[in-house]
Amino acid sequence: MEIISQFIVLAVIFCNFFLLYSYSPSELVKFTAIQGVLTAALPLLSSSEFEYQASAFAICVIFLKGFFFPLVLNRIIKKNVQYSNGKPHYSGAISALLYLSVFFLSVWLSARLAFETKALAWIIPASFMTIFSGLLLIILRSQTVSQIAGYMVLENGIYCFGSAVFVNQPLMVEAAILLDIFVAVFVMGMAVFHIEREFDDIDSEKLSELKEV
Amino acid sequence: MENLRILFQILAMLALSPLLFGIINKVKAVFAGRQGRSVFKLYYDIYKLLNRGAVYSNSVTALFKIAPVAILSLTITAALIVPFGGQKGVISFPGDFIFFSYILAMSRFVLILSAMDTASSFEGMGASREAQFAVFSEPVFFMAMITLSKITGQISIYGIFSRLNPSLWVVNAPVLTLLVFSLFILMLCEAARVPFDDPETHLELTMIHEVMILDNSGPDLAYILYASSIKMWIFASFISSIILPRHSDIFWSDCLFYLAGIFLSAVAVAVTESVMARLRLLRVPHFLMAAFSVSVMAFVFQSFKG
Repeated sequence: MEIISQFIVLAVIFCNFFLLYSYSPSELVKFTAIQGVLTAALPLLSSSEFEYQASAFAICVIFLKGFFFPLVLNRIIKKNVQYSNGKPHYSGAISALLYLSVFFLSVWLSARLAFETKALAWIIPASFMTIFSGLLLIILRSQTVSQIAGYMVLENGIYCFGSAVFVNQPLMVEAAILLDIFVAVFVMGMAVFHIEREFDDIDSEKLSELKEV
Repeated sequence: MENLRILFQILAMLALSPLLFGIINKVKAVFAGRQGRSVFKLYYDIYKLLNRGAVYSNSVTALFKIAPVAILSLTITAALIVPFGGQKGVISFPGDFIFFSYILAMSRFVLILSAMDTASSFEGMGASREAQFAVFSEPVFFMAMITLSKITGQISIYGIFSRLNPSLWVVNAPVLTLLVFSLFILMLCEAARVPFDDPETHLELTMIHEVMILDNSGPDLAYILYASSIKMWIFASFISSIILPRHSDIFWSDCLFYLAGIFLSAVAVAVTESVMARLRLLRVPHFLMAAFSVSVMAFVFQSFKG
């Protein structure tokens, strides 16, 4: 079972790589969903016994992150045709460098912090990396859907970190975070939809130029 | 007995390497729902070309005439370093992976020089692209070998691959997976396959490897085609030695596993080519940088673990 978990952690890291590399918002949403499903499956694999509560919660997370959020975001993308041509401000070479920097920073940070955890060897760096990738997506991408995806990636990282550090997470805390994300994506989705209908564009750079006439 | 084994290794490598391209084309044809060419097509091509005369342009120098032989001999020298079925290669010494890498670099250098010697602007363009990609592909190889060296504690190619065994996969499965991934990308690049280059197209503006050999004909072209297949064999054998490491006392059974791994790599290349389009030329270095990032990741994970 541990080997499967190790491969899942590896897949989470690969998702970060694709997230920083791809510039199409639909690809970002796809990789965010894959990463969300993978991180949700991690706590299930780490416990040796079958727990109903944890399983039900994981299924709930998989549904939200794997199906509901991508559905909302893909709807926004389909409404706005310009999204298919979205480009980042930096090239693929810079993406690779960014990725490597984020990776080194995460490994260094997890080595410095030296958590006492019985969890998998790479889960802490992977979670830091996911958090930093989410932050980079929010900062570096101009399109709002990409920024929402960044927010979700950030949450994936926090969830991954939580499942690494705490063996049994308090359900209430997890449920609260999940509810926050649910409401945030829902509200952001609606807001973006309304902005798009009003101004015909949802590039955050263009939004900054808005002024009263 | 030892000499017989070495002779078998060399002959098997020389005889079976053109089969890899045949397997790739056959699997691609099956994917496309066609019957496809014979798996022995490259053998026929090489035989046909060897029976023809070479045509040389007035603008070329002796360098262009020597280059195909030099490329083939350098590639064969590199192939002699590679272990066969877990057995020692003909050439083996500590740090031989550096020698190996630069032997291949020298063969690439000769190919680039011969392409530029034709004074054709298209071939010069291909040469420039080949040189650019080499800058990105060499660090991938070195980083992969350094990581393997760290896992096994050996500094020769034979030492590294002789220490790899199934039990290492249990402990280091993710690191080895990352290495196989980066070596696979490297193989696609070195053998000029999709998504880096498309050997089927003959449009000078987008070709890389093929455009450099447009002026070669007859036996010269046969040598270059044969050298390409040996190069592919070399990288496929690295992948095979990692994914199917086996060191029993029975030489023949080890060889069977080794060959199975090589042909599996060829099938994997064909599947990749069938499901994926060629990358835009400007994105090729990015893809190689991605492979480099993956091998760096494998190295850092291995260091972090130990």
